[in-house]
Amino acid sequence: MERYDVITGNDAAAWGARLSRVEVIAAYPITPQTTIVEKLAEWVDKGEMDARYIAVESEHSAMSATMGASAAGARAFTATASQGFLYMLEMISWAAGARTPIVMAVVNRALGPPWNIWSEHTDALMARDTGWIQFWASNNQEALDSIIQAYRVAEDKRVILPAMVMLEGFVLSHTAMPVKIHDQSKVDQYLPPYNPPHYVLNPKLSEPFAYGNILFPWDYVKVRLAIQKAMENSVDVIKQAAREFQEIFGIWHGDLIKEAYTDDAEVLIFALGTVAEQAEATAELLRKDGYKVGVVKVRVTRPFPKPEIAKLASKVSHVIVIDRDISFGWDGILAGEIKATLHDYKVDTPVTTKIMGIGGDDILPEHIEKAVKEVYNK
Amino acid sequence: MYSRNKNSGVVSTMYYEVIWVGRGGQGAVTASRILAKALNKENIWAQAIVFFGAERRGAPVYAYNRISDQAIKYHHFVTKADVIVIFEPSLIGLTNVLDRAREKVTIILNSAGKSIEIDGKLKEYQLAVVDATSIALQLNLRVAGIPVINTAMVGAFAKALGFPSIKSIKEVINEVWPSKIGELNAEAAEKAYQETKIIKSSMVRE
Repeated sequence: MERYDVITGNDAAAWGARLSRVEVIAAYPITPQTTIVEKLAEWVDKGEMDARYIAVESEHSAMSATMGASAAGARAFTATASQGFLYMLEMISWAAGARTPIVMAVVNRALGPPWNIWSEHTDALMARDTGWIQFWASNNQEALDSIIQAYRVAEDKRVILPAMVMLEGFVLSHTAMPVKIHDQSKVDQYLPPYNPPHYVLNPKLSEPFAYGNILFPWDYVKVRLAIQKAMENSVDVIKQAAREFQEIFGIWHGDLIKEAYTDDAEVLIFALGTVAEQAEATAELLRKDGYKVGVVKVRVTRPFPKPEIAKLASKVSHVIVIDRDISFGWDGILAGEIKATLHDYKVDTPVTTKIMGIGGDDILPEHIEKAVKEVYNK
Repeated sequence: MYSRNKNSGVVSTMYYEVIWVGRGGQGAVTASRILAKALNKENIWAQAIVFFGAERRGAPVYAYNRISDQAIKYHHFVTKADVIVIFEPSLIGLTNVLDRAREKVTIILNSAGKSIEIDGKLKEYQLAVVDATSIALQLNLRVAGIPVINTAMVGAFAKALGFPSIKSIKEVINEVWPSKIGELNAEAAEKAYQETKIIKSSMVRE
C-alpha cells in the first residue's frame, strides 16, 4: 500500500532496493552507509524480502559477490561509502567491464586522513571513468526513486551497465523527511523482472563459456568500445525511464538534469545532490532581491549531459559551479567537466568554480548568496 | 517531492525551525524524529536533522527540525530557531544555544526548579516548563540508569506550540515501539502535555 512516512535517506535507499525486488545483497558495513544494509538484512531475516543476504568480509568481496550474483542472472544490490568505496574500486571497474547491471547506493563521505565521516562527493567521482552510470539524489524521495530508475536503465538491453546512486552522508543518510513509499504493484509495472541477455547459470546454453578472460588488444578495443556505445545509448534510456516514472508515480526528479528558474536566468548555478537543492532554495531568496539566478541540478554525471549543459550555459552571462569535491592540482571535478563541455560546444560563457562543503562543512544559503553577488559585482 | 501540500509559487505561510539540545543518552535525536512523524500524520512537512560526531553519554547533542506546509529544500543545520527545546537547565550555560534564538522564540525547558533564569539577551520569548525528569522517573523510563525524557519533551512541544496533536504523538510513539515501552512513553508524552506550564516572558523577568 502506498503511504507517506518520515524516513531517513538510508531507509529510503533500502526501500528502493526492496521495491525493486532485488534478489541478492552482498555488503559490508561502513559509516554512514551501514543502516541501509542493516535494514535490508532485517527484512531478509524477517522474510519480508525474498532475497539472499551475503555477509562478506570486505567491500572488495561485496562487489565480487554482487557481480557473481548478477552474472548468474540475479538482480543484485550493494551499498558502500568513502574508504569502503575506494577498497571496492578494483571490482567496481570490473563490474562495468563484465557488463553486470548491478545497482549500488553510495553514501558520499569524505576520504581520510584526517578521519572524517561527513559528506563530500569526491569518493564517487573517483569512479567517473569506470563505465558505471552515476545518479545523484538531492532528497530522500529521489534516493528511493533513483534506485528503481537505475535498475530500469542498467538492465535495458541497449545498456547493460552497472549504475550507482549517490546520496550524501548524514545530510540525507541520517536526516528524516517525508517520503512516499510506493505501492509494490506500481513498481512491478514500472520495473519488470530482470531478464538477462547473457548469464552464466543459464541452463539453456548448450556450451559453457568463460567470463572475463584475457583478450588481445584488437579484441579488447571492441569490448571497450561497446561500453562507450552503451553509455551513449543510456542517454535516451535515462530520459525514457524518467518520463515513464513520472507517468506512473507522478514524480519528476529530472532526467540527466533538472532545471529551476532557468527561463529568464542571467546567472546559472550547477551542482550535484543536496547542494543543488540548497542552491534552488537560495535562488528563491536571491530572486526577491532582483538577482536572476537559475539552478541546474546535474542529476547524472555519467553519461555526462553535455548538449543540455552547453545549451543552458550559452543563454546566460555567467556560470557558477559549486563542487563539494576537489581534484587537487586541477579544479572542482564538476567544474572541470562543465568547462570541457563548454569548450566542446564553443560556448564562451565564463565559469566560476566554488568549492564548498568539504568534509561535511555546512553549506549555508549565505555562502551561495555571496558567490552569486561576487559574480554580479564583477 | 511532497505533493500533498505543495503550493508551487506561493510563499509558505507556516515555517518553523527547531533546535533540540540534550545530553548524549537523553534521546534528543529520537525526539526530533518522533515530532516529524507526528507532524506528517497531520499533513505537515517536517525534516529531522541530526549532527552525528563522536557522541558519548552526557555530552551536549543537537537535533533539528524544519516544519512547513510545503516541502523544504534547505539541508543545512538550523542556525536560527523559532523553538528551542532544552533537556536540562545546565545546558543553557554550557552551550550557546540561546544565541541561535529568533526574536520571538519559544523555549521549552525540562526543569524541576521553581525560579527559572533565562539569558537576559532575549527580548521577547515564551517559556514552557515541564518536569520531564520526574515524569520519566515515575514511569521508570530509564536506559542505562539515565532518565529518558525525550517523549515527554515531545508532549511539551505539542502543548507549547499547539501542534501537532498529542493524539498523533502517542500514535507515533506506539508505532515506533509497539510494546509496553511504547505505552509508557506515550503516557510520558501525555503527562508532559498535561503538566507543561506556559510562562510569558514578562512573568519570567519579574
